[in-house]
Amino acid sequence: MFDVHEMEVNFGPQHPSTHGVLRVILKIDGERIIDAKPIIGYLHRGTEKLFENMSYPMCIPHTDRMDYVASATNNLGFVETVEKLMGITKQIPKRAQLMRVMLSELQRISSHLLWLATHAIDIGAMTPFFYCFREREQILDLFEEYCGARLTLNCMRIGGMPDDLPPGWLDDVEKFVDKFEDAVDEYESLLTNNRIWKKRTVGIGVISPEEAIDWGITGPPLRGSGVEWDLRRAQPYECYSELKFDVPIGKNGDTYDRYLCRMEEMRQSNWILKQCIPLVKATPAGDIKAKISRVVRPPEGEVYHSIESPKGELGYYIVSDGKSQTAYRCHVRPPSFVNLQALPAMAKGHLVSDLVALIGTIDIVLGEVDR
Amino acid sequence: MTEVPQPPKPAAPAAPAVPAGRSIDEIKRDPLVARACERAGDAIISAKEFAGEISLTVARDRIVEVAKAFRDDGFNYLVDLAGVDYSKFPNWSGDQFGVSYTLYSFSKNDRVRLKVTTDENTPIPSVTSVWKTANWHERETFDMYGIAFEGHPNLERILMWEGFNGHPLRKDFPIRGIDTGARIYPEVFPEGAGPQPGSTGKDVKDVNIYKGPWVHYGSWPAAEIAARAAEGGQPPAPELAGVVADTAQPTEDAPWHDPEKTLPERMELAKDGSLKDKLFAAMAQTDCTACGWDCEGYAAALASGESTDITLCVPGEDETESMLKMLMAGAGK
Repeated sequence: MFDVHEMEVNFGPQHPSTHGVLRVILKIDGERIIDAKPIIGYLHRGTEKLFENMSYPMCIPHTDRMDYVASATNNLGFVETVEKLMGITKQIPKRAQLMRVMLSELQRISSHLLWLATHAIDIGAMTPFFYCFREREQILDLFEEYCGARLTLNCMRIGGMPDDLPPGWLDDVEKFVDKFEDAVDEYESLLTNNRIWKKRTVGIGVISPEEAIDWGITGPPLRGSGVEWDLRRAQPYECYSELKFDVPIGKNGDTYDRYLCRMEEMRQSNWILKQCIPLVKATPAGDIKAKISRVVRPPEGEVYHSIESPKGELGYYIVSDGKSQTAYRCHVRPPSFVNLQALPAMAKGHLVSDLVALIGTIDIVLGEVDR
Repeated sequence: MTEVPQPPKPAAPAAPAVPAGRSIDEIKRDPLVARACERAGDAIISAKEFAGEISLTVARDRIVEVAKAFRDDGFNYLVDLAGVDYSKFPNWSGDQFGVSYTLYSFSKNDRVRLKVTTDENTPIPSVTSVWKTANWHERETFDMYGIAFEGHPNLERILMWEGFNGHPLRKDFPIRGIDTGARIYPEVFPEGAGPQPGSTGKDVKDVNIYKGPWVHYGSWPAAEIAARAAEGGQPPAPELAGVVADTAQPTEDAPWHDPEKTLPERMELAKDGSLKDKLFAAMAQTDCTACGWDCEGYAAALASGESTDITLCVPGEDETESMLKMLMAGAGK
């Protein structure tokens, strides 16, 4: 039974700092967390069941709704997996590849900006929110210019891209990337050496590299622990092998290092965007689709393919029966789901207010956790 | 290993094609898996290559041993664990369920897939002792397929709620869901109503047939409002509005006024009646007052021309609407 000092409280599901509908059952002694048990599933919509009942192209809009703050990377993971299943990965035109890279890097920046804004506001810093949303707004405008949508983009197709870039889009991106470097400096000037920020993040939620791998943690939380592993570098997809970028890693595996990693990742993404602009200009306009059959009917087989989403390794496992235009089974390996699993291990011994910082630092999106 | 995706196979060869790739022994000697296979190779039943990925099917009761052999050989990251229900897979003769373990080795920078098959009743040994991350993955597979994992520390549902009936990703689970309302609101939903696993989905409409009193805020039966006004009283309070509706009983004048009967049955009963009777029989017979009348009142309003909107019957859905359309057209309205 309980120690007289211990008590059990519900954290969430309706709590602003759970970033959605996450419920954590906390066992606490005063303010110290003895045990935490995440309860998920409040946003379960049966996406995988839906995938089994619609043709491959029809699945793409549904992928938007998993990690709904990073829908371009969700699209990318899905279309690449189907392309791998069909064996047409090599046929994607260069222009389409670059467009995919640009959209997913813009998406990475916008996802990280949303993370920073909410993470900071959870910890108590109000100002970064406004600064981050200023730039995020510009990125969403760029998305809107390309595909008409700002959040659920549905901006990729199996075999290529739906539309060519609108005139002047590259110039708009150029204007954005020129200014963005300074914007990151601005965010950092608010937080990086801020004493309160450091008190709230340094040494909080430390996770060792071995343990991070054992828990299956990927993305910035893994790199924050000092493992230099990024799927864009380890198993380059699209044309990442031709682009230059660094993979930032942390040292201590705490919340502060994960913060620094993500800040640097935004700069790296910005750098990738800068490299992409002249490369896209060099490719022939309109060459955005591979010449493949309109009916997507992959051969019998099963593939797993994953990409580096802003949250970590986003993988799709598709089983095709070779006869239908529908996936026999499509399993999503969402990074948030796996990363969230380590929350109890990270939270043990910390204060309740640190749990808020930890949920922020894992960067979960419940749409993806629950699918 | 470089990625060499296979080109799509030509359409439907009659006989199952002989695997063009390497044999099981050759795959076991692949540098990627050779060391692990030395230790636990005899547990591997079959091997397959597709799109540059190696899949090894492992004997079910030896999966933990094989998993340990792979982990010790550098596959220390369990990427993914997914269940598959093969019951509708074309020409499938093996066990109903499969579980795929995708492993990744940082040193080799490549993945390998282990596969285990099982049926509904046989548990699979849990690999949570090998990789901690398997915990939630196995819970999810249990939740979605009902595959049990032996030795799992906490095998509970994870995405669906405790007490949910069924396993949603099984192929016999209808996509529109089963009636879970009966379990949560037994006083409102009849037990066993709604589609069941294995159903064709045609009975799915039953989910929406709400047998209790309907509460529609802001819409009252016209007769009730008139009666109240005549008495000089106030209209009924919103919570009470539905109570008057719970009167759907077949009478001698209107034997079709029975929500249990189907539309064809009701129309049969009303076939000799007036237009109003036929219209009345076409309603859903719940007296839900969503249209602003009870069922008889709506039918009378349509017959007298007081209302021409045939779309107001909410519980009757399309069925009622198309019947009303037909009847109204037949009467020249």
